[in-house]
Amino acid sequence: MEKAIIVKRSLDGRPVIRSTSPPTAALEAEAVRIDNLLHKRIAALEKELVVANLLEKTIPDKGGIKAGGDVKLWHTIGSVLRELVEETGLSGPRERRWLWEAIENLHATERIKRARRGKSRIHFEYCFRLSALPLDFAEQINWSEWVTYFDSRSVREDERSDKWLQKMVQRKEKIDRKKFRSFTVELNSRLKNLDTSVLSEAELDAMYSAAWEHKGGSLKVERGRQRT
Amino acid sequence: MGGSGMNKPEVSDDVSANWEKFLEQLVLDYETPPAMGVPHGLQKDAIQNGWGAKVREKGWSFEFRLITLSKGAKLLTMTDAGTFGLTGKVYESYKQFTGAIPEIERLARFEAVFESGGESGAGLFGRGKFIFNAASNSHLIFFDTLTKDGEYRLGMRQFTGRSIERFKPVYQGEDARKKLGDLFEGKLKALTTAGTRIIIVDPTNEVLESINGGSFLSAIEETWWEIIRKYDARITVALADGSVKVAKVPPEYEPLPESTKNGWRVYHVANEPIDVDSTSYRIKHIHFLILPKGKNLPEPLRGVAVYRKGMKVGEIPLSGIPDEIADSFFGYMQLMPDLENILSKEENTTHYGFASRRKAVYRNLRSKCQDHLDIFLQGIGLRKKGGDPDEEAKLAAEEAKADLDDIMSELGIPGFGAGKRKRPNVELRVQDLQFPGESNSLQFGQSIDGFSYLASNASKEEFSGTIEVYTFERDQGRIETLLQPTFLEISPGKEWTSPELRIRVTPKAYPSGKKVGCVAAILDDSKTLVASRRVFFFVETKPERPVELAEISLRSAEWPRENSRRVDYGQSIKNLRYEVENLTGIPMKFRISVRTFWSAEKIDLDSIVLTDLALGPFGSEILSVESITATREKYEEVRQGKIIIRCQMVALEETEFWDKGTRLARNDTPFYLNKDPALGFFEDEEFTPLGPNEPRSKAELVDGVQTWKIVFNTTHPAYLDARQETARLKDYEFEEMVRQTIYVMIRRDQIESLRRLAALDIGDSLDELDPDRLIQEVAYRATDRILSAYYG
Repeated sequence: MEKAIIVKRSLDGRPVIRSTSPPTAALEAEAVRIDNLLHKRIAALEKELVVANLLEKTIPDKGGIKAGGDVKLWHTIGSVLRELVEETGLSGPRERRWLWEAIENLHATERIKRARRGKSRIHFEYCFRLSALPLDFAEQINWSEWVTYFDSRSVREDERSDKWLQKMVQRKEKIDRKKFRSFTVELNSRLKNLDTSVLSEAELDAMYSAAWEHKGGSLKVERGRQRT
Repeated sequence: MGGSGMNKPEVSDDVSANWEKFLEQLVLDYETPPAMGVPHGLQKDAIQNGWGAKVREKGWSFEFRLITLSKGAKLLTMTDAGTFGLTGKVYESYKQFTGAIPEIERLARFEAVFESGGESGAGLFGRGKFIFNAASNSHLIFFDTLTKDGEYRLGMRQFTGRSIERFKPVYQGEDARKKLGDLFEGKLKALTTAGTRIIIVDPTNEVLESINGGSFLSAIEETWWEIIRKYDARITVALADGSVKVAKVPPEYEPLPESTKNGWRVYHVANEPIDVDSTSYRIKHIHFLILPKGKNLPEPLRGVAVYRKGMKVGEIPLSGIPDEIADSFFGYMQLMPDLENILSKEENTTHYGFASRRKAVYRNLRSKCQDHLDIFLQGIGLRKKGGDPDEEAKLAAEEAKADLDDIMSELGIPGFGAGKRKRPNVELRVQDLQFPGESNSLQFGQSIDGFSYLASNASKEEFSGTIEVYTFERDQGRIETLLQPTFLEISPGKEWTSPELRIRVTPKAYPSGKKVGCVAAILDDSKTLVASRRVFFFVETKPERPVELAEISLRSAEWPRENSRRVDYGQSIKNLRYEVENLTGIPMKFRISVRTFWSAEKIDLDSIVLTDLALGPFGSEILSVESITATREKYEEVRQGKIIIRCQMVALEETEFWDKGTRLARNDTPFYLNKDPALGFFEDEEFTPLGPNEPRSKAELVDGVQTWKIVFNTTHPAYLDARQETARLKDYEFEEMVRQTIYVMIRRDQIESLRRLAALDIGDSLDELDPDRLIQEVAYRATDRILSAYYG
C-alpha cells in the first residue's frame, strides 16, 4: 500500500511530502491524516512524560543544554513510536526514517529531540529499537551505552542483531554494564569490515555470542596467532 | 545531389584547416554544457542570423520546414522574411578582404569564414553559421536569397576533409532559379519576398527527431519568447506532413505578471543602475517569478537568464534558492543596449553562458541579481532576515566555489574529473591458472603449467598492438620472458588466446624467499599500455596477505547522454560491464551486488543485481548489467541529486586471508539525477567541528570516486574570526579552497595543471622534486597565481 507523509514545512508553510510513489490527491490526503495523528500523539506523549516526571515542564532552547534522559524515558517514547509505526504503516527502514524526520521537524519539542549525528544515527530510531526489549532488561545499562551499541554500523544495518538481544532476554541474562561496554567494543572490532547480510542467522548469532563471551584481545589477533 | 556533379565549378578554397575536425569540435562545443546540443544550437543560431538581418521588427518572420524529396531524401529549410537578404556584391574570392568585411556585404560575410553577420543581431563570432553544415550528415548546405534590392542568388557550402566547396561565384538571377529547380526536383520555389533560406541537405537524425518530437519547438520558445511576446515575432515549424506549429511564449510563463497576484509571487524592478569600471549603465528589467502552488516548470525554463537582443544567452548562477521553489522559480534580466554590448564580449562562442565570469561586467551583474533575489526571498518569507550564520557560510562557500571554477577555467586548468585518458577497451584475463598447492606458494622444482591469457576487444574499433608475458622480481628485475612480444589484431567483439604458458621454478632462475610477479602487458601501436594483468607467487616462502584482495572496475556503460553522467527520470544506463578480479592466489567465492543509493542521504534506492560468483586465483570475470533505470517510483524522493551505483563483492567463505562477510572490493560510480554534474573542482562543501587545533580545512574523496569535497573546520579560531563578516568569510573559504585544490593536484600528480599554474618546468613527476622545491616553487607559486586572479 502506498504511503505518504509530511516531513517538513517550508518557511512559507508549504508541506514537503515524502511518498512511496509520486504523490496523488489521495496520498496527499493520507499525508495530512498522518500529520494530524502525529501532532496529536506526540503532544500527548510529551504531556504524559511531564506528568510522569520523566520530562521537564520547561522546553529548552534550541541548541541549549538538555538533560540526558534515562532509559525509561527513551524506552517509553520508543514504545509510542512503535505504535505509530504500526498505525501509519510506515514500517520499512526508509519509511521509518521519514516518520522520524517528520516528528523531529514538525511535532516534537526540544525536550525529546537530540542533536543530529549524521544521516543514519537517528535518535528516534534508537528509541524505537530499544522499545522492542522489555524495560527491565533495557534498564540494566545506561542510555549512552545503548547509543554506543546502536551506533555500530552492523547493528544499525542488520536488524537481525535485535534477535540476539531477544535471546538474551529469554535467557534472563544479567547484563553487567562493564561487560556490555566491552562487548560493544569487541563487536565493532569483529564486524568492522564485514557485511553481515551474507551470514546465516546461526553464524551471526555465533559472532555476537563470541563477542559477548570474549575476554580481552580480538578475533583478528587470534587469527594472526594461528598463522604464526 | 551534392557538391560534385553540378555544372558550375565548385572549387575548394585554399585553406589549410582540417574542416572535418573543425566541425567535430564545433559539435562537441554545442554538446558540452552549458550548450544544449546541436538541434538547440541550430534553432538559436538560425533565428539569430535572421533576427540580426531584419529590416524592422514588424513584418519579420522565420520558418523551419522539413521537406521530403523523391527517394526519401530529406531537406530542412530555414527561411527568414522581412530581412535585407544577403546583400552586397558577388565575389569569386574573398581574398581581397584582408580585414573585417563591411557590414553591407552580407553575402560576403555569410560566405567567408568567421565573419559574423553584423552587429544588429546577437551574432558575434561567425562560427554559428557552420552549425548548419554540422546539422547535415554530408555537411552540405545550399542557400538562396532575395535581397531587398531584388537580386536573387543561390549558393552552397560543403565541408569535406580539409576543403570547403562552394559555388564560385554564387548563381544569380534566372541561372539561380533554374539551378534551384534542378537541384530539388522543383519542390523548392525561388524566394519571392526579401529574405534568406538555408537548405540543409540530409539533416542528421538528431535534428529530425528533435523537430518531429517537438523539443525543437520548445527550444525556440525557451530561447526566443521575449521577441515573440514583445514584437509578436512569427516563428513556425512545418513538418514533412504539412502540419505547421507556431512558436509561442512557453505556456508556463504566461501571463508573466509584473506583481504578485493570482498565486504568483513576483518581483520586478526596472531601470536598475549598475556601475562597471566606473561607468554607469542600466538594467532594463529584473523580473523574478514563482509559479502558483502546484505548478512546476520544465528544467530548461527554470533559473534566471540574461537576454541579449531578444535571445536567451546564459543563466546567472544564484545561490540560496530554496528547494521548495527550485522547480517553480524563474526570472530574467534584460539590459540596455550599451550594457548588452559590453556583456557580449564575455559570452562564450556558442552563446550559451559566459567565457569569463571574473570580468567586472559579469561579476557586478551577478552580484546585483543576487542582491535583488535576496530581497525578493526575504520579502516572501523564504529567506530569514539577518541571515542564519550556517546558511551564510554555505552561501559564501557556493560563491567561492563558483569563483574558483571561473578562475581556473580562465587559466585553462581542467577540473579534477577531467582529462581522463581514453584508452581502447581491450580486456585481458588469465585462464586456467592453477598453483600446484593450495596457495600461490611454490617450492623449487614445482611449476605452474597450462595457463594462458585471453585478450578481448570490447570496443567498436579494430585493435592492433603487441602482447608480452614475463616474470620479474622487485630487486632482480625481469627474470624470464614467457611470451615474446607478439603482434595482435583483434576485431570488435572478438578474442585472442595466447599459447599455453609454463613457469618452472628453479633455483637457478628464481630467488628463494621472494615474491615473484608474472606480467602480461598489451601495448597499442603507439607503445601505450592498454591492458595488463599481474599474477604473483612466492618462492620457498609463505604467501603474504595482499593489501587489496579484489578489484572491481566499470569497463564500459552506455549513458543516456554522451559525455555526461546526467540521467533524467525514465532514462536508463545500459549495458554496464564490470570487471571483477581476484587479486589473490587463492580461489574466491563471493556475493556481488549492484545497487544505487542517494549520496547526500545515504539511502538505498534500488537493488539491481544480487548474485553469487567464484573466481580462481588471480581470475577475473565480466559482470554484465543490462540496465539501471531511474524510474520516478524508485527515485521520487531524490528529485534532483547525486546517486551512487555501488558494485560490491562480499566473501561467502572464510579463508586464510579473509572472513566470511568481508567486503572484498567495491566500485562506486556516480550519476546525477535530473541535473548536470558539477564541472569544476569541489563537488561539495561540508562544515564540521574538527577541533580548534585541527587543520582549517581538508579535501576528501567523495565516496571513493574521483570527485572531491572540501571540509571546513568550524571550530578553528581562524574560521570563527572570519565568519564575523560575510565578505571576509567568502575570502577565507576561497583561500582554503585554493590550498586544498593545490593539495589535490599534487596528490593526483596533475603535472600539467601545476606546470601551468606555477609557470615553470617541474619535470615529469612530482616524485622527483625535493620537498622544499615542491612547497616553495610549486605549491606556493600555484596558490599565489590563483589568489592573484581572485583579488586582482
